[in-house]
Amino acid sequence: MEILPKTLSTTNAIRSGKLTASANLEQKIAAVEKHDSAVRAFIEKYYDDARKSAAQVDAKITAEKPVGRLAGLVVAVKNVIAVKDRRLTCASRMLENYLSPYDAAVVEKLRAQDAIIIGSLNCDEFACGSDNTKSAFFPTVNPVSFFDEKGEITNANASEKYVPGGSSGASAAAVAADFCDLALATDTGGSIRCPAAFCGVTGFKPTYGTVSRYGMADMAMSFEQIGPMAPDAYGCALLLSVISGKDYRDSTTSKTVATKAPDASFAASANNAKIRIGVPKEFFEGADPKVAKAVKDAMARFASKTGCELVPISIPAVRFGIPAYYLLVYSEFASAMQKYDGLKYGAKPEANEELVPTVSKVRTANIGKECKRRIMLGTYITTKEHKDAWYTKALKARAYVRAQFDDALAKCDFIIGPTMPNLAWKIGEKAADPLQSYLEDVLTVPANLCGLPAGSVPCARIGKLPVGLQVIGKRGSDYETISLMAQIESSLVG
Amino acid sequence: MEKKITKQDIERVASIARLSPSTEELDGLTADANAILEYFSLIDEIPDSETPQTYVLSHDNALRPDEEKKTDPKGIRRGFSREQDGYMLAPKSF
Repeated sequence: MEILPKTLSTTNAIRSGKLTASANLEQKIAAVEKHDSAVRAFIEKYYDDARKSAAQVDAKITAEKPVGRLAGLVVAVKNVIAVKDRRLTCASRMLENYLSPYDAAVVEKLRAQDAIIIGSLNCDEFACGSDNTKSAFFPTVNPVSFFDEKGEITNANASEKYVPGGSSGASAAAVAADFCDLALATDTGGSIRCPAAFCGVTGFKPTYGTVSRYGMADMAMSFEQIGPMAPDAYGCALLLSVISGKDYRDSTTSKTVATKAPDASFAASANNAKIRIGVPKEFFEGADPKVAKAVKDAMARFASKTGCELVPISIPAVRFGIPAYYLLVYSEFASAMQKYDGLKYGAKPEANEELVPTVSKVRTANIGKECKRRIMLGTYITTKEHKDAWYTKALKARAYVRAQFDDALAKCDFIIGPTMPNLAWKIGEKAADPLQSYLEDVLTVPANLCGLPAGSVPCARIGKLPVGLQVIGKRGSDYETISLMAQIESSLVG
Repeated sequence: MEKKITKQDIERVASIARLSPSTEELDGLTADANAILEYFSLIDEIPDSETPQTYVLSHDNALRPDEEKKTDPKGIRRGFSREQDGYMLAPKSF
């Protein structure tokens, strides 16, 4: 018997009337109420509005009126994405009580397709981090810390607590803990793929320019994309088909076409024998040997079942990814953060002194340590005397990395390897040394530097910790990339 | 070139970035900045002949119809730290 992806089963059950949208929502609310005190994924819950939306969807289905593509599916949203009249905190004291004046473009699209928005999710402050411990409010815990062998949360008092990855740690945690059917997240240097890998869910970063960022608080504008997280590749494809497409409010989308919705042939490829998949040796060299082996085993299994060709390749420029990425992120982030001055919105200054001391005081008191470090370094490397040595050089490094990835993707259809070089670490580890934390992003930042679509599929577990397999596609091949992820997923079942 | 960052450099950068770190924070930021940039000096190996790339997309002049869009000034104004007659009130700058 064919096993349907979980998202497709839920969608079918709601459309056929076997499961009402309200019942689906109540199941999610019950899970949140039971387990979110341990997982701590939510910043704000929108139960009242969600119940109203679910009732509206049920009324449409009962009256046999047409419903949207996400009808009755429960979606949670990373709290860097605006939901009208709700708090948009970016997990920062700076915006703790700031209310969004409008819906982000992606939230408008969710509503238009009858999604049920259950609440907003924690993350690293302003999306700056790889483990969700840098939220100004509280760290989210990886639900696998509490899982039994069946993947159910049965041990909420577990003493060993693992990070969910970041920065969209709570988006992955909420999907893994079944607090929602789908989640929206953002990926600037791996912030969707890292937590997907650590929590054992599927996540996808679209090609740069595919999804409108209108209404998203920016971290580094030339890198980031909003993308889907789901229990399966089907869910990622479905959510991407809704949120992608042209939006006059974000000029990077001016040439994009909405990604098509997954159809019956989504997870099947008619011509696998012609698909060449590049396996760069650099993706395995610095990885934990256990992770490298798990990924290689999964790749071999997939290739033998599907007939795709695995081609050993080399992309030496991978080692320049971290410095190029972080230097540019620092620069763009320092610029993006200038708007938080305590005057227009966000934390309010205590006393009304002169402009500069007022702004400095409110920023110093309300911006967290990692964000300050990035603002300072970004400001330093873009000053006139240091710009050529650092900022311009990093822009050249970006071109260098991109050329090698484009070259590899001219010879292969996809690139695959591990998503993360290591397994999830325990909360508190890697806290002292920022560089050590940055280096964890080595395999995810290239896709952002090059604007390529990339996703993570769970491919194994080592103990209770999941391992993610990363698929990187050609620019614009988002549908094909998620389709390959779906094939990998089904090749690993049974 | 000499890339070592001093505490004075960090103090100057902090004032440009509108941050006022404590002495202890300044020490930490200086040490972190040096450790991080020492590792990142790896990019000195990149050939100087590369063309700097700010965006992966080409720059196009995207136009849209010149139509008035509705805005909600109330939603914007509720974020102001101080307001007078519908305008944001800012501290004096000189």
